[in-house]
Amino acid sequence: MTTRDADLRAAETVEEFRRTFGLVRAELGRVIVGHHDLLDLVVTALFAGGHVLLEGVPGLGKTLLVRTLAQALDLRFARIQFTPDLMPADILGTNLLVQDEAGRRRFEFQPGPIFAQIVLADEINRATPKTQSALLEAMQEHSVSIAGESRRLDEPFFVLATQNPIEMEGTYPLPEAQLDRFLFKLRVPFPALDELREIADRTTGPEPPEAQRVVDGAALRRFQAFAREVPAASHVQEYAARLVLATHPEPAEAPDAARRFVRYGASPRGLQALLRAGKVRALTQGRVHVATDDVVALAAPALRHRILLNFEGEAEGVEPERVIADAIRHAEAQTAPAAARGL
Amino acid sequence: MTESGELHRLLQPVARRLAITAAVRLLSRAVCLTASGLLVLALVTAVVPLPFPLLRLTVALATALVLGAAVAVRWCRPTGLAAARVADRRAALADRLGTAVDLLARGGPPAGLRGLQIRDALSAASRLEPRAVAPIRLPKDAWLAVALCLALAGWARFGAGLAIPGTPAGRMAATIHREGRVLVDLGRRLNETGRAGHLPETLRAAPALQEAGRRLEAPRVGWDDALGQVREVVRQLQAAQDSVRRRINEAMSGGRGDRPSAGTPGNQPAARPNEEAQRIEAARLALQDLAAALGPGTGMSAEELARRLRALSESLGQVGAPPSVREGLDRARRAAEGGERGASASAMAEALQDLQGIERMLGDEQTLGEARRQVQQSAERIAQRGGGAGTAQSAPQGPPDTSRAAGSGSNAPTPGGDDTTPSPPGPNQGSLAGRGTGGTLGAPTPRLGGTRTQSRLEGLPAQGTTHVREIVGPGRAAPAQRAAGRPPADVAHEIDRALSQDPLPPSYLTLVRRYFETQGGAP
Repeated sequence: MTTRDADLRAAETVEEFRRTFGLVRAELGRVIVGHHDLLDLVVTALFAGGHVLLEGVPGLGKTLLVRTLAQALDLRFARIQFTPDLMPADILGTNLLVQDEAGRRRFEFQPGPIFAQIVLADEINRATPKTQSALLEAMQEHSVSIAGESRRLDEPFFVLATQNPIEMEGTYPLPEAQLDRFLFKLRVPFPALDELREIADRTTGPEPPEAQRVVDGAALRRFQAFAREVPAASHVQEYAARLVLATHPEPAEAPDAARRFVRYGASPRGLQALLRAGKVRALTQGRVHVATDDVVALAAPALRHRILLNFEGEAEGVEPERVIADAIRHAEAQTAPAAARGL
Repeated sequence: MTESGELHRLLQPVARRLAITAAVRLLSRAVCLTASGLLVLALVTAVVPLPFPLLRLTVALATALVLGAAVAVRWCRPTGLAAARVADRRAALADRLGTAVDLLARGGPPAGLRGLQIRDALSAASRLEPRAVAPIRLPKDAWLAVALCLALAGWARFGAGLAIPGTPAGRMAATIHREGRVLVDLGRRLNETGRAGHLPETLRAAPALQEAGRRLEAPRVGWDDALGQVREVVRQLQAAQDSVRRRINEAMSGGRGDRPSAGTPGNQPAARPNEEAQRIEAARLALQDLAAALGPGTGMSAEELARRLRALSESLGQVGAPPSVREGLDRARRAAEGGERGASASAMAEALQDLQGIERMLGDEQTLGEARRQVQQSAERIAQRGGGAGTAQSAPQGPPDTSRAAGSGSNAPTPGGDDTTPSPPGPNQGSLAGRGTGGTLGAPTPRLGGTRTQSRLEGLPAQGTTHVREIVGPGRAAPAQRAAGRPPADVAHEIDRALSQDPLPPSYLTLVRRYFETQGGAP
């Protein structure tokens, strides 16, 4: 294959990627009213191969969003309603003793809902940490270990979890290790007046809108692999790394907000999330390279759940977004070229 | 051309303009710092007398800054990646160019997404407008640099040499003014002396000295400026003195140039200038006597005249008189022996003119030397940076009484006037700068009101009539005169002892002895 052929093929794939992304996004938009940024980020996470934690009060369409996404994709969908009495085996599956026609008994694995390709973990913070932890291996390794046997999950594997930020009684906040597995943590805002009217119009009519399947699993996997090929320049990677580092309070040159309000900063998974999602965003923006703008745009959803505030931060009601904004300014000052800084 | 070369070619104008902008910014800051430093130094010089050649410093620093700017343009030239990143930011290219430069630097075939990205970047770079991306603007602190430069120029125009009274700089300014007055006075006296004694070099040097003095008397003369001017005057006086000395040497050696200069080691110890002048003066007086003896009614015989001319010629030969004078005397002697008194008188007149010319040059040299020494002392007083300025210890000496050194040259102004060693303090000289012990100047020596006489005694010892002119001071009826007579025994003994000790020429010793014998008989 010549260079020209490779270029043409890459250009065609980029175009196909953008078209598919747009189709998925459009199908979601047919059902979900408003939440444009939210939908963009959910689809971005899907194409980047990451999981999403949706946080919002009940009734904002979180579950509808996930269900609509599953409809738009030709993938197996499972919903797990997390409750305090939910056990890990209820998620992962278990070995059942079955008897065949000959009367012989044997153990047969009964897969749990985690073996779907799109998993809705609804109200994930209502389950006990033990049960929450059952998702750890599945989300990170895309495999589960049951009775000493490791079982692969079908690709693509996409977990969308929801949690309610206000009804904290009887809930178990997600541990940091669990939070770190999510590519994004997205906040679902309350719809505006026009959006509310549109919601009422769409959902109370005779035929509620339904999403059409626009992409299958194989294509999604191909796009996920293709997105990983998008180049990221050294200075962009450095910018992302400095941004992650600037959320930590330990370095001597740490920003003021990080030093005052942060107990633990973002993990290296935060850096990976920034670049992986940045590559998808670059393609959707018509570029074939990651820009610092992508990193900045994705910093809040990719890092907000990885920053652990200290007592002072909690007491003063500091939002992680404030720390991230400070870190962005800090990284900007550190990585801007000398000529641009006026030196 | 490869993609890498093409991209760098497109980014080159941006990099160049960024380098110029950075260099201008650097230069502006350097100008601010330099001008601030010079202004601070200028303000300090109003309190403390410091060497502050503002113009030279400014020229030197400006040259250094220009050279530094040229180096800075090269040094500040950004790399291709930096230029690309700046272009990305300013043209809102979302890291297109920076990523392309980075990908090209990594190597590998530009195919697939890499190739797409690089070609996309090349397309964006080709549309890049370097003037819009990297405009060359004056930095924000340029106005400050301009303001500081204007302030510096204003200081040079209106504030240079400013000294706050009561501070060391103020005392220094007073010293400079005082030395200026001294130089003006010295120049005036040199002018008078030069006119009275027909001393051409002295006449030429006097206006420069007066002009330098007037400049020092002007307000706001800097320490280093004043010192430079005074040293320039010293240099001019030294040059004039050297010129006169060369002419004297040429005249004394008869144009052969083999005569060692005064005060320098040679085949035989050369006479010091004042001794030289005394000898020339004595020779001139003797020649004048002989010339007067040729006049009508003197009754001097031709043999006697020839004998005295021979003795005088031998004496002049021993003291190193110019060959032209000796030749003139020989011609006069031969004419006298031949009975040609007119020719003899003419030859003697020529020799006399030669001697008078040399005598004037010696007077010129001594006057210039003394003036140079005094100006040198002024320079030393100024160089002491006003330490003790205004006190009696460092009060400048008055100008030399150069009238004594001029004219006939009968009285040298100062023994060893060519010597740079300052003379010891005299009754009206005060103390040398830095060597005084306090006190103030004494009252000036009272001057007699009599008319100045060039010579009180004319004629050769023991060679005929001696003409004596006496000065009668105001209020005195008769001149203070003691009748000639036999000297006392102790005086005669002392004279004998002195004559035996000094290495005098035998002929001169004979003359002295005959003089005393004529006056009062054998001692």
